[in-house]
Amino acid sequence: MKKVLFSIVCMLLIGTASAQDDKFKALFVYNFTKYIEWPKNKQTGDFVIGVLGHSSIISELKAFTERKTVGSQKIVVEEILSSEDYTKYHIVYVPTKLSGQAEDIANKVKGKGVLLVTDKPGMAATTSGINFVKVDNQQKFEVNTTHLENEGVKHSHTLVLLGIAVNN
Amino acid sequence: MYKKIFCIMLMLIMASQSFAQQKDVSKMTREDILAMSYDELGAMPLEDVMKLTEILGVSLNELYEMLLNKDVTSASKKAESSFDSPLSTTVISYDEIIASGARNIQEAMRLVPGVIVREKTNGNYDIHIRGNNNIPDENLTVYTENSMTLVMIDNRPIYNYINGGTFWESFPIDIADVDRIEVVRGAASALYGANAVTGVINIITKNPESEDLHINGQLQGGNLGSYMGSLNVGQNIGKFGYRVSGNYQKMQRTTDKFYVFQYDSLFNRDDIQTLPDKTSYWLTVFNPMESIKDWHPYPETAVDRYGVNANLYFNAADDINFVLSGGYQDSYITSSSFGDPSISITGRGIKSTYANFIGKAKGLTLQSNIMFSEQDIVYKNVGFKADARTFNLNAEYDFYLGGLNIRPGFSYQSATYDDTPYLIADTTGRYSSGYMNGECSFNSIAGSLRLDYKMLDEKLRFILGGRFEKFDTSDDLYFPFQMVASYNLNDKHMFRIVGSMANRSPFIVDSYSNFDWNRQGRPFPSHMKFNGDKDQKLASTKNVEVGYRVRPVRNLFIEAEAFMSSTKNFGCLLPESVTAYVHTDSMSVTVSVPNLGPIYQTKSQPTAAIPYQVNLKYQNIDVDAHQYGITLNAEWVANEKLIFKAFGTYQITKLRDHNCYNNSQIVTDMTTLAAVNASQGKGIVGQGVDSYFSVPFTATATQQLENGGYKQIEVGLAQNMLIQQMMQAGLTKEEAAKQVEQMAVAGSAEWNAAAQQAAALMAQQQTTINAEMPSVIAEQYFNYEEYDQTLKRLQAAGVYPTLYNGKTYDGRYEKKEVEHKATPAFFGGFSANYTPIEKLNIYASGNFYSKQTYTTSNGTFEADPKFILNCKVSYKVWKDNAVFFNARNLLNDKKQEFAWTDETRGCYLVGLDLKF
Repeated sequence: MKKVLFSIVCMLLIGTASAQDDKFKALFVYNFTKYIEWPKNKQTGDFVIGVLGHSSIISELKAFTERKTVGSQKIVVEEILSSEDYTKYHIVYVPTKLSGQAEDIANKVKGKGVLLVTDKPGMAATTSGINFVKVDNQQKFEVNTTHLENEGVKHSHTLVLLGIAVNN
Repeated sequence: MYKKIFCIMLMLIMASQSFAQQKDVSKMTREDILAMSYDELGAMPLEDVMKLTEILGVSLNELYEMLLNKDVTSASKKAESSFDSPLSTTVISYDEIIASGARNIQEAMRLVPGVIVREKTNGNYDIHIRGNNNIPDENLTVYTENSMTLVMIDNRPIYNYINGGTFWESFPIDIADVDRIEVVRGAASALYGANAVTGVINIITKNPESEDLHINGQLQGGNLGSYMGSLNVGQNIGKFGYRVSGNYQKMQRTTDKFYVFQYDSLFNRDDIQTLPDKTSYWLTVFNPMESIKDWHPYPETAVDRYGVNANLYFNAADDINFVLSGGYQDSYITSSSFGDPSISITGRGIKSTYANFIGKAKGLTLQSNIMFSEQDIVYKNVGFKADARTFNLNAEYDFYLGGLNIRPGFSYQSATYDDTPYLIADTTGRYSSGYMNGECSFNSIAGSLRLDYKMLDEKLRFILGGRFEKFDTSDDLYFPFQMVASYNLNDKHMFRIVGSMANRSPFIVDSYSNFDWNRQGRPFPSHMKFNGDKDQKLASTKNVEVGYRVRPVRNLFIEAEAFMSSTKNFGCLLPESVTAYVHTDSMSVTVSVPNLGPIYQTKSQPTAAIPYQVNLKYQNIDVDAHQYGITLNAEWVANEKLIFKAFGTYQITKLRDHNCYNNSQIVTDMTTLAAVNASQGKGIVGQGVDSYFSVPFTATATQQLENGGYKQIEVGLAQNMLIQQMMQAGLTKEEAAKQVEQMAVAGSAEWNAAAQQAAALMAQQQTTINAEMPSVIAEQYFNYEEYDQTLKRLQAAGVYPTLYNGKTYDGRYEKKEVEHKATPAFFGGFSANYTPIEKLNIYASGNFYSKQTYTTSNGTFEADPKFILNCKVSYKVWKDNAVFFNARNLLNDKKQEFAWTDETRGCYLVGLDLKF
């Protein structure tokens, strides 16, 4: 009994993910849709945001995008469970803990009109078009315009001004 | 034309309306943002979202500052951040205490690094800063009490003047009143006055902060008969403000039994009264002249207390304000004993009323307070109750001369204790059964000066503090001082070094003990006299500390403090002289009752000597406690939801020039020496008659008579009378005793008549049955400086072993260096405060300590290492009001934390945290 109680306490303590952080990251992701233009072939059907693996950001994204559209496209949020065809997504978000897969995904979606959003310091310089970073405990994002072009999406200049420009 | 103007105006109004509906993001607060819905957030452009995160981010920085760098005033008597604090300082906030689930202020001290907190009985704790407890050892349990820490409420000293300890249960306030608790580790008398030898604990109460009515507090209840609540209400009204509070706490012990030293086991209260003394079959363990039912009317109660407080505030201007406070409390606890009874724990009842005034005008601070109390420190034990009155006046003026901050101060302290209202005078009007037997007063005046100078862009700082103290109990002048140098490298690294000297105050036990313990009905000696001595030196400590604080990143705070101290001039009540009856031959012993004649006769065994009168006097002892240690403390705000703290202290205390002063051994040795000297014709002061109480009785008969309403002593007397009559009729003693027993059990008419006769004799105060043994009376004085040599000489002469039951001299008075084991070498704690969602808070905390060994006159007690886990889970149901589950000692670890006190148990409570 003592061990069970102790384990419960420990488990409660281990869950350190910040829901507040996820909420604002989701808000950012939703906002990116206003500053990015996807190729013509992806402007029909649902607008699909994929989140790699199980992440609490999914529920936050769903809360923000419920009844929302990008143009006339209805926004759908999906969990990416296995290495499938990433090109069907408009945005792929790679959580910090799965950052190791980002490079592989970047290679697979090159030129396919998929915005790759990562969440690990340094990833914008090496892999993704947009990467979340924290500066002085404030949530910011880095933008690598070269990578955005490689991903086959067009960006607004405002996005670069609001973010931290990182080009390799 | 009018139409155009009208249209333009309409458009302007609509535009302004529209603008007004747009939220001004830059003015939003963190709370505003967190309160926004998904739709509202989703409708915002990215520019505004960025601003929101900036606000949230800044707030997080503020959170770090708030959590890791709290304001503190105790350390240097000026508000400053704890990072810059020149002394070893910890601040515990109200919010943290509430989150932690601590049931009272004592338990909240478990959150503080460098503080050792051990539970004695449920909800009653022993609290020491860095230890130095139980010095001297081999003495009364009361010397385990912390008598060298300055404990204050709003800078009002609240330690008792009996021994300088703190009656924590007698605080009129409780957690709801607390704004924060500031703890300074290390000697700090120069800044605060006497008795800050090991540190300062300053409990600072709330001030009303706004004109809105503010209510906070908590109610909780659980197992171990736990019910407690504290409530605080306050608000400002214009320049005035008020705050009223009340608290109640009731907790039960984990057992209703009591530990009896002689039997090394627990007994029901009612069985202890008649428990035979193992050393003298005709006596009982418990004093037959007193009633254990009176001592412990509530054997199951650990804490039963309440307090009420009222405060009035007047804020005349930003830098001119006044506070007038008053309150009353009534408390009863069962905990380790202040006296020296045959059981380990006794009750303590305290009632007190206080008034406190604080006035601040510009740089001048004036504080004055008075407290009246009734203190029954060994509940219902005759002689331990007194009325007390304490008064403090303190004035300080703070000003600058160039870059130099100067703070001169003056203070006056006065305490008066009087036990005569609770004593019965003898026919000559003399009191003898109290521990003072009169009114005792202490007065002290002190002048202090504090110089604080900052240079190199305020990075380098020097503080010099000194204080002259004069106590009217002694001609000596004391000069505690403090020197501090600190260097704040770049707000991330802070180095400091502190050198200080501080002394303890004189107290009643030291200066005014005047206790004449008539041990009639007890094993020898028949009389013990305890005398204070005002001329003894006050315990003092020299302390050096080196500290380093670092904040490598904003959300991490690490602090290390290494300390070294030397404390000397400890004191205790030690035998000064023994008057012994020395018998060298077998002789007839006659037991007689006044007005009745001899009732019992026997032959005594040849006896070396019997100590009749022992005089004890408060004396300084040579021991020098050298302490070395390090305390590490780390606080990490992982994110706004999770905050970790961990702290630990490793310390070694060596007692140099340590003598093993066991009073019983000394008395035995001195009695032996008296006999040796008397046999050589030395030290004889007269011829005498050894008279001592010797009433035999049996448990069964006692019970019979008690059922009939007779006192125990009357039972013994009745038995003796009947036995004597039967022996005169020809029965042997054994036959007579057996027959009397049967008569008592049967409640025969003869027995009842004897009992009534005995009761009548007792009622006439003919309470003594004398065994008379013509003897030589010899006196022996104790001089521990020469004692070792004296005993060695006696052993060399071959005298000592023959007189001391064959036990040879064991060198116990040789001064040695020993490791002090009463303070654990390693102790500390941790906490994790987790808020996964806004409404839910989980606070887990733990404390641990290594093995500790208490050696007192009652023997040796070893407390095993222990880890105590606590957890509180609270859920906000409406605004900041929460329901909670609170588990203290979650794992129900039963190991005793303090010598011969109760087993601890898990205490599980549910309750409400209130905050409006």
